[in-house]
Amino acid sequence: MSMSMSTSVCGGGGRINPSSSSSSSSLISRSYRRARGPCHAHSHARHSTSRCRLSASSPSSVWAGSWDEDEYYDVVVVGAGHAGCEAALAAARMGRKTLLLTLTLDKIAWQPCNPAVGGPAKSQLVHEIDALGGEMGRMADRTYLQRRVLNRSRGPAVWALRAQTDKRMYSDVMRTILERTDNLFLREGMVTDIVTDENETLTGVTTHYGVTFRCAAAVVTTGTFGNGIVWVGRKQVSAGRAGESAVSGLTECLQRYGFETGRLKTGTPSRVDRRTVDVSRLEEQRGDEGLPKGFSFDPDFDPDEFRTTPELRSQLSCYVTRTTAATADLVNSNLDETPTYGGWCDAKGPRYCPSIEDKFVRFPHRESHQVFLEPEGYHMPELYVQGFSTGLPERLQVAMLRTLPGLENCVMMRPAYAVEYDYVPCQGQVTPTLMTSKVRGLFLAGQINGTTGYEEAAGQGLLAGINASLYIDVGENRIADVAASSDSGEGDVDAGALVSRARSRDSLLVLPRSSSYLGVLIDDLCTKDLREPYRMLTSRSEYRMSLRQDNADARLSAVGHAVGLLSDRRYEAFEKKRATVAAERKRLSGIRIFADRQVALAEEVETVTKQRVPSSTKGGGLTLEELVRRPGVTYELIEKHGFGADESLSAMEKTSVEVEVKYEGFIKRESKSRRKVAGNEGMSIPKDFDYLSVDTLSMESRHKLESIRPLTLAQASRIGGVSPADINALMVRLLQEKRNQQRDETNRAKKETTPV
Amino acid sequence: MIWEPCTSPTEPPNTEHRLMDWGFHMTAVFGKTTGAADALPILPSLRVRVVSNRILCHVTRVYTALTDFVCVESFLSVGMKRFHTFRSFQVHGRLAVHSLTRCACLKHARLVPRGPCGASAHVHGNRPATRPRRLGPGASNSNAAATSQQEAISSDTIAALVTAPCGGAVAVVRISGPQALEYATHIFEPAGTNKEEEWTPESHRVYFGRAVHPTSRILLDECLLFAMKAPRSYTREDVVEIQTHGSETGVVAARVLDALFELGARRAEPGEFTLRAYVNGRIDLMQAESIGMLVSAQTAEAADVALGALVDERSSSDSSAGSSFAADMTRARDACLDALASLEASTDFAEDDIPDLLSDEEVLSMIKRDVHEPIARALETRRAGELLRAGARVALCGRVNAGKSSLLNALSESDAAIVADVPGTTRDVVSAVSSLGGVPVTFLDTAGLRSDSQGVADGAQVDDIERQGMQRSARAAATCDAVLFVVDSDAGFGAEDDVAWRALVGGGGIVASSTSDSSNGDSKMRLAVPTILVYNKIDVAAPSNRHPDEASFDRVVEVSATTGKGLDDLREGVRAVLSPKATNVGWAVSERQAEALIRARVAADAFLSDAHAGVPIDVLVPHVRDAASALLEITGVRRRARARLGHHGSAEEELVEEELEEAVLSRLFSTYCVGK
Repeated sequence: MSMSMSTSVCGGGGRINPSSSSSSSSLISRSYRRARGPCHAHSHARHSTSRCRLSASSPSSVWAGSWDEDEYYDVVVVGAGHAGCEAALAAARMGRKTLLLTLTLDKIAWQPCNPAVGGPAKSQLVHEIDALGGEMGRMADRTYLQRRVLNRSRGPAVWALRAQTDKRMYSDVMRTILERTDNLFLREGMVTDIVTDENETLTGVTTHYGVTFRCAAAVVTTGTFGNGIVWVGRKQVSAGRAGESAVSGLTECLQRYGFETGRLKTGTPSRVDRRTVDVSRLEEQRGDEGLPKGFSFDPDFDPDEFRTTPELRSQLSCYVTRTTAATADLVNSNLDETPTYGGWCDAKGPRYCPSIEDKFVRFPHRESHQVFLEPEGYHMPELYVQGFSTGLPERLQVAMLRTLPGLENCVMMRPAYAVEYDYVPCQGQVTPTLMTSKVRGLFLAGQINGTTGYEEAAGQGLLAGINASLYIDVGENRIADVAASSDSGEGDVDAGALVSRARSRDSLLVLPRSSSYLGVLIDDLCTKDLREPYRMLTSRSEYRMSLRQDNADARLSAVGHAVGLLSDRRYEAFEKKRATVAAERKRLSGIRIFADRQVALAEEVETVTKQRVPSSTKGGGLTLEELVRRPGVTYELIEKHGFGADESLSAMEKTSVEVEVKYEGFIKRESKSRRKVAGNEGMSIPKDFDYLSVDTLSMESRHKLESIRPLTLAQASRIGGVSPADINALMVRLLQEKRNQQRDETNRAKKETTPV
Repeated sequence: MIWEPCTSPTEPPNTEHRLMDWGFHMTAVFGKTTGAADALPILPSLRVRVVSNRILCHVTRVYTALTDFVCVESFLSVGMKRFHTFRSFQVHGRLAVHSLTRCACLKHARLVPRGPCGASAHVHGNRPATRPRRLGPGASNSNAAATSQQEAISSDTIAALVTAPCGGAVAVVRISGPQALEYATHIFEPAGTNKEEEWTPESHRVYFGRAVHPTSRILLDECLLFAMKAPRSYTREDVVEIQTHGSETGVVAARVLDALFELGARRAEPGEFTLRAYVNGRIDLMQAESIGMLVSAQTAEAADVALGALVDERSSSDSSAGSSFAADMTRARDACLDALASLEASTDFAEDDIPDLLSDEEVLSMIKRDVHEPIARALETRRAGELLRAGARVALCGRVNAGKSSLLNALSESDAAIVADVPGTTRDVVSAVSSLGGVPVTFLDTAGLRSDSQGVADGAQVDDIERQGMQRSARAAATCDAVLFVVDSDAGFGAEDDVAWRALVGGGGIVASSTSDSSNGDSKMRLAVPTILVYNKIDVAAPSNRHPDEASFDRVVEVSATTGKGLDDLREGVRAVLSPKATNVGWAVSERQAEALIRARVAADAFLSDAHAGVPIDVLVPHVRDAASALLEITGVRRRARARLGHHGSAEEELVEEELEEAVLSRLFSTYCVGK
């Protein structure tokens, strides 16, 4: 995919026609419309066709000259947080000339809350991002200062890697990566408006200072900045993050385009100075040493590239302390100082992140709550006080911190605060491609869509970046129907179809729920009514057995490769791994074990599983695969007895073999129960389907479906308020249309074959 | 017509948000049937389609439990993602109209004419951007909301005669609804008060006075009035009961009722008071069903069983722990949800971050103790419950003239059947009802079975009528719950008995045509239903020439229909074969409950066996989910009055309304302090 224009663009920034610098968006779009013809001279085939059509109807080209001097980008990404960075990297790597606009270049990929990546469900997301060719997995591997595998005592389906990262290093390294990337341009700017043509197709974005960047697609990832308000106690200040100005104007702009917006609230706890904390009295939480791999599946990737000193290669510890009776007293006697219990703020925070006052109120019987102290960086004294977020005023925060053992003399460096911000409920407004349904070419990703968490944001950003890039190639009229067919069914992923479509680059990418947590996340966003910021949880997926971190590469590498994000080298590495694993599984199923022949192995297996291994006199014994399938038998165990592979397998490959063998049966069961789902629900709905004419639908559902325009029947069924009856009626209509179509085709075929 | 669900008790009505939150929506379509709309004949029918599986269950259960109409086309089930099940069923004909009106009070749904009603879509309009907004569509003004809700729930007031329509010394007219008290003041003048005086009845006090016509003030009757103000009433609405004199034709009460209808009351549909009690959270689904059982109980024992299920779980769990079905099932459901919350918490949050998680062993033993065992216990009651409710049919079969009719008369202590020595006297199936240990048993006397040729020798030809009668008896035998095969002990088990026996075993509907192959070969013949071999007429002679294979019968009893000897043994035998697992738990599950229970048991079984096999516990979560969703169907929604009265119900109560996933998450967050 070669772009006709790829570099040298920064020339004429800011030189715009005075008339177009007006803040009126209608004026801008009008004048732009007139100018449409010439300004696309260097653009794409699709654009030129539409341009020809349109320029024929617009006689004047008075303004053309001035607009030509504007900068043109294929993709503009608004915001350089975790969503924005992934989006920009994906677009640039897919060959798009990409502009990344951010309020400040000093806070790129900033981790304003807990500097950690991964954890249950989120680790799976990061692995998926890596398999698709995103950056977050490698970023965490490059900058972690501690990492652990969580849920070891559970099955591998829910094993989760969590990395504490060095906050500054993360930001610095990401900036370096961005700067190293071809086609990618960084610039400071506050986007407050979007520009569209008369078809509500995006043609550019405008910054607060009045610069318009023309573009084919824009990804808006403004996080908590939309009219953000930071609260500490009763005090509030307009800010997107502490100390950074909020953005007003963009939300209002979206509202002008008919978007509904809402408010969400989240928060972050206080930070204390590590040098004032007596960690010697606290329980230490060390990282896991010698983990076989990090988040990235890339075997040739060097995670230590940026770890220039030996110190940066060691792991730091976290510490655990507990609240005391004094903490409880302090909280309970000052409840009226908190926003929730004081009654001046009725927006509740997310349930999975209760404030310390919530904990004391809701769990009064519990004497003490755990509090974790987590380092924010190798060279920063700040400790993140995990589990201690609060709405109390700052003076009380210090007092409260000092009731914790080890923190008696602590110095607070940053107060805890809550932030309240605008978001765009995705239901009916954003399609599963992350393109908005109202403005073509406008993509939304990250917290603006109502999620929370860096991983959730990065995943969306990646998909939005991919789709913004694909959008430029895909014929407009094909977007909806092709995307629909890629969500073919609730059943297992039709990986082949997904990949071949991705490779042909003639459709936008939609990840089915069965493909990934990212697919679940986006589907939930688009079809459910959110009540609180959406956090990924493993329980949200009905495919938990098959959506594991260890097989994210098997699930998504082909897709990443097909869209052009995963290099040939990495894809080959993946294929090699897959082949190795398959060969090893074949080998395991070919070797039979008998209690009387392989005595040592059989005995150990019997002690571990408390089940007998048959001897050679009784039947065919057990294959190695059958042994590994037994709970408690690891690959290591059979390796110990000399039954490992001839060529040594990498740790990653061993895990894959073991997990695949063990989970095969469960996955079959899972997919069997999924298959109960009626086959027709995967039926795609033509993008121009006329819901209003289906008189068997309730009027309300007609309007709802008309506005949301689901891609498949399954998606339609998940829309709140659309009744099963309506789905039934819709299905009948779709079947009828299909039948009619087939009949028409046969008739036509008959006609053609009939001699005239 | 479109069903537009109104709002939950604490929320202001009619916002888009509430609609989604409720997660259910009903549509009623007249003139269309499901499936290919163009292919089927157009029948007036009702389709009720509901998003949430649980809500659907409520709808259908309430229908079938409390009302009298038939689901013609039963559930068309389409499995949906996760725990959503889309189903629809149809009620044809005029019943559709009744069902519609019934739906009107169900779940506060309102019946609105078909037309554009999605107008309220954009609730987030342009708003001051800096003003903080609440996250959910909270109740901004709970009082106002409660008031408007009150109207929405029961906009109409219903009245009906709740005693037998005619006869009896007293007739009771019950009025329920917001205008009940007002109507009462219009038609009732308490004795000893000034007519000009404003009067409203106090709650739970009996007044004596006169019922008068509201406008003409004509005296209707002298009567008693008893008012129960909301929520302390059967329906949780204002209820007034007026006791009038009974009369042969019921005319007195009917006049009072007519007066009420003139005032604007509506005649209550069958079961509507109970429906309202359910809708208003007064009773839960199980209790509603129990009331249905109680009302239709034919014997005292059946009534006891129904009451056993009806008793409120709290009171019963104090007195006789674990004896109430409701308590058992609620505990089982809670155990499933607790287990799920713990399992999900431990997988979705790093395990060492959350204290107090249940250990795997605790989860296991909890599922075993609180889920598996109670379900197994409950299912054992199923047969007994069904017998108590529906009764049993027992057919008396045998060759002609074996004394079946006299036995029927003896068993039922009646003379329902004509007894004569002429073979083939009984030509049609004759039935008589008797109570055996609380089980209402219908005994069916059937035409004696004999071959066509047999009759020639006796001089009594088998005619067409008798042949048809014999076919009917075989059919009756094939569809009943037990068979008494009657043999004349004087004659013993002879060739004719064998012919009759073979005819029965041969699959019903067959009259043996030949006597030639009498006793050779397969003696291992059995009927599908329990069978008792009865040697009758032992007063004449002791049984001689016994059946060669008495072991193939469940029991063998010797009786004399004439003297009554052995009849008690026979009764006991019938009772024993009908309910092999006699239970004395005092309650029994219905078939509907049993269906869900079986699903829950299958899931619990799978969980336990997999867990014992050492399968990682997170893999077992789907089993617990299956069990939980099945149990949620049984226990349904219990909305306590608190929520409705404008008090804020506890989070838990509101959350039961939500789907399983949300219920589990809510429990998780309310049980575990996931601070990290």
